[in-house]
Formats: sequence, C-alpha cells, structure tokens
Amino acid sequence: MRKALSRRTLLAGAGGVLVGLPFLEEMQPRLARAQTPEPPMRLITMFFGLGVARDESIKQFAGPLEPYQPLADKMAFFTNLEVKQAHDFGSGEPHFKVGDVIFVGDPQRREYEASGPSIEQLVKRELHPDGVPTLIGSKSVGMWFRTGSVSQYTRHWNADGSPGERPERRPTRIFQQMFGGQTSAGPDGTVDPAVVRANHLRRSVLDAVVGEYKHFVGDASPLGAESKAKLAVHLDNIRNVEARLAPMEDAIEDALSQECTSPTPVTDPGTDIPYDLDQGGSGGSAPIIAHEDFLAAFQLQGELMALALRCDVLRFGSMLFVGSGGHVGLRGTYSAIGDSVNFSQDLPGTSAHDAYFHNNRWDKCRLHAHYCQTALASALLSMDDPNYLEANGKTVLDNTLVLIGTDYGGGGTSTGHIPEGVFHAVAGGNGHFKPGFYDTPYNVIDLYETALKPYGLTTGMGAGRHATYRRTPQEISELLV
Amino acid sequence: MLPSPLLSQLDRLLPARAGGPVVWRRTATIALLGVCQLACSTNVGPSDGGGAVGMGAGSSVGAGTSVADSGGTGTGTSAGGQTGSGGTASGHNETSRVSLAPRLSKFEYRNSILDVLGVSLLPEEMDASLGGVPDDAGDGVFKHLSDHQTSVEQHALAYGQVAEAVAGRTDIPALTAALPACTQATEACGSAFVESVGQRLFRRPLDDREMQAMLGVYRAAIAESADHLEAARWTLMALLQSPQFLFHLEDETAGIAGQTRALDGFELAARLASFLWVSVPDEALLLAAADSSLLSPEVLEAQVERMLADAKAQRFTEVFAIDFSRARFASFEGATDADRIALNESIVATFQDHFWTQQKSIADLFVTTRFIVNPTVAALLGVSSPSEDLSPIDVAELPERMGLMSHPAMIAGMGDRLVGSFVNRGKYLLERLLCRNPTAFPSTIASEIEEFNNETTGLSEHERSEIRRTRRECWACHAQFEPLAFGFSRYDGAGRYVGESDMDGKPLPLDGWIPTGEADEPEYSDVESYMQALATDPVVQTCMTEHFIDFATARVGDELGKEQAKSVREAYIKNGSTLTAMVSAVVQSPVFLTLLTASESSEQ
Repeated sequence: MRKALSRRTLLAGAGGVLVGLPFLEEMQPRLARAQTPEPPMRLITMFFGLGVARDESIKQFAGPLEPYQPLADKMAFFTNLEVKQAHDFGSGEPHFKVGDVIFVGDPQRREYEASGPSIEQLVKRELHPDGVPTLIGSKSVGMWFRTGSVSQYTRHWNADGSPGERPERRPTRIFQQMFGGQTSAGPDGTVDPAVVRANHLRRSVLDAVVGEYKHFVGDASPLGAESKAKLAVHLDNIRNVEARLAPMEDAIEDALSQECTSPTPVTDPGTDIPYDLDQGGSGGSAPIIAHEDFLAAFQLQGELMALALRCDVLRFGSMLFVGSGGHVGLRGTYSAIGDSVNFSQDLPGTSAHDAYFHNNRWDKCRLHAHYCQTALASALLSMDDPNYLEANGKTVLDNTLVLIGTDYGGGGTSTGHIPEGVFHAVAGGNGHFKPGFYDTPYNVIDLYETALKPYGLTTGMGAGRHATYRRTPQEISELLV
Repeated sequence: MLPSPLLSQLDRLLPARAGGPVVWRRTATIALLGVCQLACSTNVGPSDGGGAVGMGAGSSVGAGTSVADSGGTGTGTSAGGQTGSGGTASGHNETSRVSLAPRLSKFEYRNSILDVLGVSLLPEEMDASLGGVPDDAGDGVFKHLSDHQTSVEQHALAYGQVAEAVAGRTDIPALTAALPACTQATEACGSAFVESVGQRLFRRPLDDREMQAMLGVYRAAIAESADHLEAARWTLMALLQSPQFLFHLEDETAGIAGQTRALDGFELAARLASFLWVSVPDEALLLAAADSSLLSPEVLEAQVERMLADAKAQRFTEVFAIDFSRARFASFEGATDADRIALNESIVATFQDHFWTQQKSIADLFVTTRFIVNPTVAALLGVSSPSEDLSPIDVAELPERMGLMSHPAMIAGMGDRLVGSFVNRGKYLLERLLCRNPTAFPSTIASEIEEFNNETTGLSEHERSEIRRTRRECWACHAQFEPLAFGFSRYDGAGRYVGESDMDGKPLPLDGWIPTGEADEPEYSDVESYMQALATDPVVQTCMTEHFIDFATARVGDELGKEQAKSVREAYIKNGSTLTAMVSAVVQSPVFLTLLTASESSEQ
C-alpha cells in the first residue's frame, strides 16, 4: 500500500484530545509550494461592520488603526473613500445598501441584492472558468449575529448578484471543511484501494452531473437567460465543492507535496457563543458574548484561513468580523489607545450599532473600531507568519491580495449615515502596491479596479452603473508601484 | 383622476384628535395632493436600529405592463388565445410568465425522494447547520418561489452527500421490481434502470443524450468491477444531482420567442405534482402526460380530483400553512425550539382540519373558532389542553379569539423579538392579507428616522404610532400597513392576550381599518368585526386567491397573478368555495397552464 500523508490521520490520531488555540505554533516551520516559485493569484476580502470614522482613521496608527502598525510596510490605507452609489440607487436599510456595494462596486440591483459578483468571485471566475484547482473553490468565514438581511453578512456574491456562501462561524466546522475527509487516505495513513475506487466513481458521477449543467447553461440549452443564470450559479457552486464531493488523486498529491501535513484539530472558543444561532432581529436580539471570546473565535478563523492559503486548499475567500451595521452584543471591558469602553454596561439589550453609532457616541465607536481592527490584523498577521515562507521567500500575505472594507465611517458631528470618509485598505498584494495612507476622496470602485490592474485581469467590475461615480477615469496611479 | 389607493391614503392622512379616540378625517384636499404623492412615493419608514428593519422587498417581477383580461381558461390552446407582446426576461405578458427554473423546495426534494425511492431523509440531511440541505429563502410569502431563489455552496455539497447516502439506503431490487430481473451488469440492465427511475425523477422520459450521460456512470462502475446493484447506485447518485431533478426545467425556447405557449403534458404533470403533492408525478399522471390526454380539460379535472383524494395532497396545505404563518421563525422573548415546533404543529393541524376534515372555505378560515391545539398553544390561549396531543377546541368563548389570524402561531410569526411593533406586524399582515409590500424607505430620510427613534424612546407602540400619524412624511406610507396591526395590539409576541391596557396602564385600543385602497375601506373596532371584515372583503379574499396562484406556479405575485386572481376567485366561488374548487380554478388558469417563451434578446 502506498503511504500517504493525511490530514485525517492526525484528526484520528488526536484520539479526541483536542488542542485549542494556538495550534500554529505546534507546527514545524516549512517551505510550502517548493515546486512552484510563482505563487498563484489569491484574493481574500475582509469586512468589518460599523466603519471607522475618518476623524479617527486619519490619526493613522495613533487611532483605531493601531493594530495594523506591525504591517505598516505591507498595507495601503484609504481613509476617505466614497460609496455614494449605495445611497443613490434602490431602497433598504442604509448599512445594508452599502453592504451590497462593498467589494462589488456597482449599486444594488434590487433591495438587499448585489448587482454582480464580489471581487474575489469575479477573479476566481476569470482565472478558473472550469473550477479552481484547489480542494475548496472559495470560503466565507466570519463572526456575526443577525440574519435580518443577507446584505448584512454576505460578502460572497454570485455572478448574478445573488448571495453566495454565508460566512461560517464555527471554527471546528471550518476546520473540517478545509482539512477533513478530503483525501483517499485512511485513518492509518495508508491509501485504501477501495477508497480510491470509490473516489474514482464519485468523479464519474460528478462528471456526468457537471456535463448536464453545462448542457443546460450552454448554447443548446432549452432554457431562457434567467433560468440559465440560475443553473450557472449552481454549477459554480458544484465546482467550488467538487473536491469535497469527489476527491481527485492528483489534487491530493498536489496538496501533500507541499508538506502541508495535518494540523492539530481545534476547539471552538467561548463555551457560550451560539455559533449556530440563526435569528433575525436587531439591537437587543443580538446575543451577548464576551468580547475576548468573540475575538478569539475570529482569530482562530484567521489562522485556519492562513493555513488553508498556505496549503493551497483555497485561493479565494472572504472574512467578516461583525456584519454591516454592527449588530453584535458584547460584554466585558475593552481597553485600547488610552481609553476603555465597558461593553457590559453599555450593551445589554442593545448593540454597538444602537448604543454607540445611533447615539453619536464617537468616543465609544472608535474603540469598537479598534476592536474590529484588532481582529482583522490578527488574521493578517497569521498570513504574514515568517516561519512559513513560500518558494519565492515571501509570506503568504505578501503573495496574497487582501482587500479590507467596511460600511459607514461616521464621526464628527454627522449622524453617521454618510457615504464619504469610508475606510478601506489593501494588504499584501504581491508587491504591486505602495504602502502608506491615502486621504484622497476616491470612490470604492476606483480602488477595486486599481487593485486588479497589476494582475492583468480583463473582466471589469460590476455592470457599469458605478461609472459616473469614479473619481479617476484610469486608476489610482499613486497606489501602484 | 388619481388612483384610488392614493385617494384612500389621503383620506387617512389627517387625524383630527380631540383628546379622545382618534377620529379619522376622510376628506382629501387638492392642496395636499402634491405633498402626499411625493411623500408616499418616497417614504416608508421602518425604524432603523430602534425597531423594525426594512425588509419589504417590493414586487420585483414584471415589466409593469398593463394586464388585460386573460379571457378564457381552456387547455391545450394558447391560453385563452392571447399572445404576448414580448414580455421581458423576468416578466410576463397578458397571460403567462417566463419559467425561472424553480429549484425544488426542501419539502419537494424530501417528498420526491420518498415517493420515488422509498427513502426517508434523515433529520440531519434536512438541517443545514448539520451539513444538510439549506432552507428555502426565495422571495414572497412562500419560500419555494423561484424569483431570486438563491443557490449557495451548501446546496451543491448537501445534494451530493445526500445523494450518496440516499443511494446507499435505496432498495434497488424493490425499486426495479417491475423490470426484467437484472442479475448481470449489462447495458440492457443499466438502460432499463436509467429509463424507469430517471423518468420518475426527471418528471419526463430522458432523451438520448441524457440516457447516454447517465449510462456513462453505469458503465464506469462496471469498469470498476461493480455488479448491477452497485452500478445502479452510482447512477442513482448522478440522477439525484442532475439539474433535471433538482430544478423544474421547462422548454423555454419551444415555439415563437417571446410568445405564450401551452405546457406540454409532462410539464403540466410536473406542475400539478409540485403544486398538489409537493413532489413528482406518479405513474398514472405520467401516463396521462405521455399520451397528452392530460391536456384535455376533462382529464385534467379528473386527475386533479384523483390527486386531491390522495393523502399526499395534504402536503400542499401543510407547506402552505407553514410558510403563511411563519410560526417556525417565531422569536418572541424566551421562545424555544420546542415552542416553535408546537406553534407550527398547531397551525398546520388547524389548516388541515379546516380544509380537509371540515371542508370549509378560505373565507371561513378568518372566522373559524375551531383551533387544533397542543398543550403549548392551549397555554398561550389561556385554556386547559384537552390532551397531551393535538386536539380540537372551540374558542368561541374567548372574545379575543376568532379566526386564523388570532391563532397564537400567526401572531408569533408576525415579528421578531421586538414584538408589538406595528411596523413589523403591519408589514407581515399587508403581505399576507392584501398581497402588497410597502414602498421601502429611501436612505435620504434615514436621519429623520433616527431622530424619530430617539424622540420616541420609551413610548408605547400606540404612542409612537400616534406621533407618526401626525407627521405626513411618515403617515403617508405607514398608513399602508399600520392600521392592519392595531387590531393585534392586545397580544404579546407569543400571541397571548394581555388585556385592554399595557403594563403601564395605558389603553390598548383596537380600532383600525383595512387599507385595501378601495373607496370604502372596512373599519373595525374589535376582533370580531376585524375578522368578519377580512372574511368578506373582496380585496382580502382575492389576495388569498393570489397566494394559491403564487404557491401553485412557484412565482412571486405580480400584476398577472393579481389580474387572474379575480377570475380564479369567481370560478372558486361559483364552484362551491371549497379547497377543491380553488385548486381546480387555479390549475385551469392561463398562468398555470402556459409559459412565456424566452424572447430572443433574453437568450443572448
């Protein structure tokens, strides 16, 4: 029998003794992708809710952006972007309307639905029209509670603008999806011919199924345009999960050749986090969670995402820390940048959105914003781990385009729902972008399109309704190296 | 001439208060027209943050065409003889709509597998949080509607994993008992299996291309030394993941582009089975489809009668009740999963009893005093439960209870934890009773809404509503739905009756009206007069007909549905106002019997 490395091996070998945070330290430093010096195009979006006021973001690392300071030479910060197209089209709750535009560019097609794909889906589709050659096509993870509108938590938008994958919260489930049960190897680390045979037949099944979808979305289809579009989205989804449905031997070998051995399983932080809660409502209906636990869960998600990128389990994804509008209940006292906020005192029965944002408590909003940046920065730092350099000597972050976005910034004397002064950032990006702070009032679409320029992608962002909102007809030249 | 809805809103615009109950001034003035027209077209304000959040999706279907009377409901023709003027990719013409390939609802997916393969899905296979099939989340009251039906990765993953599990649990020999015994893995055995099982799952015979595609899996299995049974299982996995099974695919390019065409026999059979059995056609229906006899009105009627006599027909009213009540999403303070299950169980049983056992009409549903309750619902009603199981009770002795809408499951389904919100409840009622969604508020008034929320913090819902009534910019549109909610102010979020005043001793008046948009909108002053008005108002009852059309056609209500609902309702009343009469009228309507072929532009 052929001996193979298996992620499942360590899952089984752990014998139920699960190891919690942090697990990355337990892994040996290694060089990944030794055979391929040029890393693949990877794109991750990171969203946090409730924004950061421009009054605060222009303080650079002396304000809520302080957690990014260790990555200053790898990030470009935009403190004054516009997202006016979100206001000018359609209807709906303001935060959610902006949520439909972030990472998409065009205004919503209709209430609580984007007008086209989110940027990582757009790139994925152009580079890999027949499916991404990784175990997972794309992955959305995040910490958020409130299902009042898909626009609040969805950052993965399908090609037709319909909502894609909901961000998965539970780290153990993310771990299983990324690293469990996707190889032909058995618990003892050997490859069972029966399993290989079964996987071959699963591949035959999937080939037949994919062939049928291709027929119905193709030229010979008896369907109209909208029905074709609906099936095309489903076909995309099949391609995203096909490696999980029918593991391919070459895919397994590819993953294993990277010496990306099985990580130690994780446990879910926070015993009282209702990871599977599926509940609508606003304000007081948000569950109250210790802020340390809420943050720890996202940090673990970030580590898993970094590991998945390093192992080439996926190349495209989205992360979300607090949905648009910020309806999360927190408890505990959070201290940073010379100030502190008592979530336990302020938030019972309400949320940061209601207690801080709507009450113009910008002194507290800035700490909420800092809290969010702490989360996102931790994910970036996981990707930037110098112990795991890729074949070109760079970190995963260096070799990955990361776009950070948010909804309203608010601040000053405003009431908050102002589509200006919106914060975004670019991290990593394969050395294509100049780090620093940019306070020019570009539109978000300017940034998205500029971010794609160096990669030679030809697909344009959105359906064009953003055109009149551009602040630069070409690109943000000052950003490009 | 202003459209009547606007005049009606103007009638309600200015309350004249004199320290007592609100007296509504019904005189509209020309001076107000400009202001109010503008206000109503741009302002509806669910409160942001402090209360309800705007969720009204608005009608998204149709090209806004003026719909003519469809005329006639004959089958086998071009739906009343009218042809469309083009339509749009997402719209409709005078008689029919485009297909939009509805994906099977979760219920339909479950039932289809059970009916064809004899395999019951496990709870975890229907629970997305456990890796199963995601919940339906289409637009409209009914969640299986195809408009903007979303597809996520979990769908693809779950369909694949469930297909493998189901194939493993399928008794293949029993499934193919009627076929020649196949003990050898041969091309003939594979073809027989694909042909027989495939046509049940695909709801029509497979064409040559499809046969070869599915046989490709069978052959691959044989090449891996599989016997017939194993090869059939692998083939079944492919059938269960194919678009022809998971989606209702109709030929949208047959006939003249952009024109109405009648469904063929198999398409009609599939729609009938989806509507009445929430499943696939059985062999008898497929036979009637194969020889096209189903296209004759007599055979169609006979098949409908046969299908309604089958116990599987109760699935349709079950799903109808589940989505119409929304009890399974009840989120009142302290609500548990057990509460939601109990509420859902009771409302479904009440529907089933009303329609199937009592054989009562849709209108009667609004004034029935016969509830089927379990101990949880009995407790919410404040009565003792006759048994630990479901039991009928008569709520005639409870003045606060009359009709479906006063059932705790309906009230609990109206809102989230911010119960008592006239906005949430009003919008829920508007969608269900008048088949409308309020105009969503523009973000330009977001600051005014915030200001309102700040100003009214701590006030009761009645007090907040009274302030809104005094503000034209609010009331011009809140008048569309809030009056529907006033009659429910004496129920808490769980549907319990709380009395005539709230916890602070403030009165909870019930006075309201039904904003039908007609010249003479029904008013009510108590539960009985409210429910009686719902049972008799033609706008409300026509809306109920629209719901049946939407459910049957898997499309969100649009102008076409509204227009055809009138003639469907007439036929329903003429034929006895029974559930059977409603079903019969719906399946004979042009919108059910036809589809609009894809226009050339939409095929690009």
